[in-house]
Formats: sequence, C-alpha cells, structure tokens
Amino acid sequence: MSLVLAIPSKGRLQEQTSAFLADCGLELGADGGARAYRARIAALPGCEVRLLSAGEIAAGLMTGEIHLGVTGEDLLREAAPELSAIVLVRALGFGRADLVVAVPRAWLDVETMADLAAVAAEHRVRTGRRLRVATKYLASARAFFAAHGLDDYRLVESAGATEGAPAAGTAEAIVDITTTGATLAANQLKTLADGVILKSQAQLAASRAATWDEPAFASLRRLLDAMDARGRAKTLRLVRAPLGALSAADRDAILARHGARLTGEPGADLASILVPSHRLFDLAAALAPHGGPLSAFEADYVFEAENPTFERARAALLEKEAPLTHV
Amino acid sequence: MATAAEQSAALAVRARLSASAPLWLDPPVLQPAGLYLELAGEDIRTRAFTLVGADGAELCLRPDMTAPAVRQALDLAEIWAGQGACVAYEGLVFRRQPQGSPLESEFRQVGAEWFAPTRDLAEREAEIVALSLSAARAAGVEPALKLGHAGLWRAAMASAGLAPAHAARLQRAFARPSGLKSAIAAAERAIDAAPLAEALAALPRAHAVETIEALYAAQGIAPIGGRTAADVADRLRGKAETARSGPIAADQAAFLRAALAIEDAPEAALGALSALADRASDPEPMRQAVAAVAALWGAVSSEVGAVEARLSPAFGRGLAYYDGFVFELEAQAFGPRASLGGGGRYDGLLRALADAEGRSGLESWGAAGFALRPARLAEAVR
Repeated sequence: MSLVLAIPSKGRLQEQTSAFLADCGLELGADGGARAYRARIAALPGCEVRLLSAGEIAAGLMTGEIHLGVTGEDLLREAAPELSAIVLVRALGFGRADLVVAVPRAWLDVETMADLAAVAAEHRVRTGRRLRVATKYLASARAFFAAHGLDDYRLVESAGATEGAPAAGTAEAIVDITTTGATLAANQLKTLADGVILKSQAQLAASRAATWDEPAFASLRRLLDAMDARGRAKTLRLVRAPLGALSAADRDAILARHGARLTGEPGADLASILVPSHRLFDLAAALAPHGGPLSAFEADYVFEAENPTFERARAALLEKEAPLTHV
Repeated sequence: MATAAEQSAALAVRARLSASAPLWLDPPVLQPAGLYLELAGEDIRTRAFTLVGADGAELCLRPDMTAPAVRQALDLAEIWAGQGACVAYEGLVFRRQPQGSPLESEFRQVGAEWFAPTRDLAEREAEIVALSLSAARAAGVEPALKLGHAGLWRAAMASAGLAPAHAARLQRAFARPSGLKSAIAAAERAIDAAPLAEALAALPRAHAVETIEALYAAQGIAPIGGRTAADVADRLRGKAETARSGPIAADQAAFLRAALAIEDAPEAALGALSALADRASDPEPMRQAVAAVAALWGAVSSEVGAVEARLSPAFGRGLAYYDGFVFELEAQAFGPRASLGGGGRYDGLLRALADAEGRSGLESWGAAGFALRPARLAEAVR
C-alpha cells in the first residue's frame, strides 16, 4: 500500500466521514475478515484505510505513521499547536464547531476578553488565587489567552463534561467546543464577543513526516480529484443547447455574462455548457430565444485538467522545514 | 557534564559568595507544580518540566533556584528570628525550550538571597548588585550591567495622573513581556459603558445590587462562578465611572511612551527621567522614584568602580516576580545568549511563598538576591 489514510473510528465524525466519502464515490469496504479497524476503498486501490481514535490520528500525522487523516481542526491544533508537521489539505465542510471561551451568564459585566482579564486580575487580588478555567483544550486555551494578554488564570483539565464545571464550583470559566450554544446556555454560560478561539470543521490533513513517494502522491491526487470533482459538480449544471443560430462572439458574450463556459468545441447541433447552478435560469432565458430546446442536467462529477488543491498540498509536503538558524 | 572552565567559574563564584553568605542551602530539585502555577501562571507549564508523583501530585523540576531557596529558608528559624540573613546555593535548574532553541534546557546557577525586614533590606540593595559584579569578576569576566526598577513605571503612571482603571490595566500590561504599546494605544481610545452600567452608576449602590438580583430572577440566571451580584454591580458601576473619566489624554500617552523609551547610561537616563518628571501633571511620584534609583546607582558605582551600565524604566518587564530594583549582568558583545545572570527585589514573592507555607509574621520582611550562570561566565572568559 502506498498511502495510509486514517479516519475516525467512532462517533458522529465517523458517520459523517463515511457518508462524505461514499458521496464522493469512495465507499468504504471491509478489508477482508470482519476486522473493524481497517477498510479499503475500491476506487483507490493504492490506499489503506485505518479507523483510529482522534488522538491516534493527530499522533500518527505527527510521527508520519499515516499519510493522511480526517479529523477536527480543533483536535489537530490542540495536539500540534504549530502545525509544523501537518498540512491542512482540504476543509471538508462537516463536523463544524466553534472552540470558545465561555463565562457564567451571571457575569453581566463580562462581555469581552478584556473584561475577563480585568475580572481575573480582581479575582486574584480578592482571593489570592488565580481564576480557574476548565478545558480539554489546554494548548489552544493557553495560546489564545496569551494573545489576549490574560495571565491571571490557571487551567483545570476537565475529563468529562467541561460545561458543568462552573456550576459545580470547580472552575469559574471554560474553554470548550460548541455548535449551537444550547449546552452552554443550559449550563448558565455565555460566550464572549471576541472569545471564539477557532471556527473548526473536519479537515483532510497530511503528514510532512510520512514518506511521500510518487505512488503516494498519485493516490492523493486521485482522492482529491474525486472530492473536488464531486464538490464542483454540486455547484454546477450541465446545459445542452443548440447554438448554431448565434455567432461565436455573441455566444461567448452571453456565456461570459452568466459565468458559464463551453466544455469543448461546440458540435454542429449541440453545445455542452457548464454554468453555476444559481445562474441556470438566467442563462436559459438568454439562450432559449436563439433556438431551443435547451436541457439541463446534474453532473455526478466535473473533473478539471488541473487540481490546484493537490498542487498546493504537494508543494507544502515537499517543502523542507527551514533549518533553524542560531545566532 | 560541566566543563573544566565551567567548574572553575563556579568555584570562583562560590568562593566570592562564601565570604558574604554564611549559610548554604540545598533546595530540592522536585517542587510542587501547583504552587508554581499559582505563582507564575500557566506559562510555567510550557517552561517547566512537569511530572506526576505516585500519589498523583503534579511536580516540576525547579525552573529556577529562587523560589526553592526561599521555601527551604522558610523552614530555618534562625533566619527569621533575628535581623535577617543571607543564604547562598548552587544547583541545576531545568527549563523547557522550544524545539530548535539555542537556549539550554538544563544549566547550573550559583546565587545568593537576602531576607531582612524591608527597611534594612533597602540599604543592602547596592551591596547585592556589587556582590554579583565582584563574583563575575572573580570568575574572570568584566560584565555590563543592566539596571531597572519596577517603581519607575508605577511612578510614571502616578505622575501622568491616570484614572485607576487605566493604571491597573497598564500595570498588568507592564508585567507581560509584550503588548504594552498596544495597551497604551487601547487606553487612548474612547470607552463606551453599556447602558446597564450607566443606569447602575446613577443608582445608590444598594439599589444597583438589588437591580442585578432582580435581573437574575427575571432571566432565570443562577449566580454561579464565585462572584456575587454585588461584585457584578460594583464592576459595572466602575466601568461607567471609567467611561466618564474618558480615555487617557494624548499628552498622558506621550508621557508614558517617552518614559518607556528612555534607555541610557544611568546618569543620563536619570537626568532624562527628571526632565520628564518636570513636565508631568504631578511630578512628585516620579521625582521620588528617580531619587531612590539615583541613590541606588550612586551606592553601586561607588562600590564597584567603573562599569559599563545602562538603565531603563522598561527593563524588568515580564520578569514576573521582581517588584523593586532588577538587574542583569551581560557579557559584552555577546548576542542573545549574553545573560550571565541577574536578580532583584521580590518582596511579593516572599510573602506569597510564606502564605503558601502557612508562615505568618513576615508581612514586614522583604527579599532580594541574584543568581549567576557559571557556564555562561566560562564562555565569556574565552
């Protein structure tokens, strides 16, 4: 196998990843036997799929044991704050969540990080202790607080339900993941106006530490082609229209006006056109008077000659880390 | 393992310190991490090596010698029974460095600390700087001296006539290694208080607290998080007051920037600070601080003779626990690894450690000291 791709082994992120891959035509198949921690993708014969926990995926990317991993950006940034060993190849559009700073709703005077810094300083003067912030995201919280000049605090590592810590009296504030804010509100917490640490979503991430030979790059290219071609197809419609009555100049002007383009040289009768879905009806109204009927289709995939996502990832993976210069 | 050059530098420093410090301490390498987290903040997790004991207690390898030496000294009754004492120590300290950093993760410090009632200690400050210089000279190095004093910045803010909320915020910014410029810029911008803060400020305090309680009841808010309705009401009223007093004026900001920018040979820097004080709305705090530092510098230079020295009110920023004079010895023309050691006055840390150890009766005591790095001294000799 030339390429090892790790995906989450449990939870909602696993379901979403499997569904996303299947939608791209990359269905996961059992890899012989009934072993649940390995899988294959028929369309990617050079790729071995491993089902790992989120922590194992981040660790595997850092050591180079896996080439690619699908996991939340929040977890990657927590495991590898500098991300120097990891390249974020492609945001996948699911698993969205915000990593935020939240404080008790009762703190009507605290709306911003500057307020929290002031309250933390007062807390330390009044109690002789630092404000406690419960979180599982120690590195992310530390970096964010440092950037906001907040230092009169200490982190309390939470094992379970972080959002319950202030009500339980084990912390005054928290740093945690939220999607709708409902859980925070139910626990009498609110987010700070400038307290969003990261707008996270699932990422396809690649390891700089892994061995990237040409077969591995070829597998990555095919994987990204499938994802991008599928994603692109969802935003476009394929239009078939007889355009013989139009001069080439008029035709090109109409197409350009609607963000549409020919997929090749038009034949004698029909031209194939790709147009953004939301502009289909405008284009149809502009073209139909010049000779109908005009039909529109959904495409399964739209492949392009170039894959900029792949080229960027390839360049980033081949880039040697700049040697540290010492004075 | 220490090189022969480092060992001979350490030997020279030890010999010089032994003449002044009758008592040598040997503090434990393992220190309670929680104590350092309270004292130094979360930053310590990235700077110290931490480990977990069999009982689950979080420990760290000592990141410096000062706090461990103070903790050990607190157990020695003879220090605190009389008029104070000077102790010395030698040992390895351990600091995590970022990957690829040229700085050492493990290095030796030899140092001394004085504990005395605050009045007696003030007279010893020059002696402490002088001893560190003469110890470096004993190791064969003629260092340059950087001198600062936390009191200069406090005095500059007092002389500029800042509103308390601004002064508190800029004092916090001063304690951090960066961000002071942006904090001054932020204080220059107009502040709007929320309508709720304005409304509460117009009420008698008791009514304001009742209003917050009524808001809690109406909105189903539970008073969690350790702050009472009165705490919240007081701070909102304070915000309205700060908003009324407005941002700091352009001339106040210019005054603070000018004070921070001063860095020069001590006589010249003190002259510039005096001239600046004359422009202040209330020159007195700054004049007093300048006079105190001038007296310290006069005493230092009469003891050590000619030395290359620089003084700046900005020096000492980010050295969290020094709250009085602060100094550093540097190898001349030696780049970013120039620091040979340093020290200063840290009454606040002494009291915090005494509180943590359950020692009372030290409220009027202070502490000051320094530590040198024999390996750097040995490099500077070569």
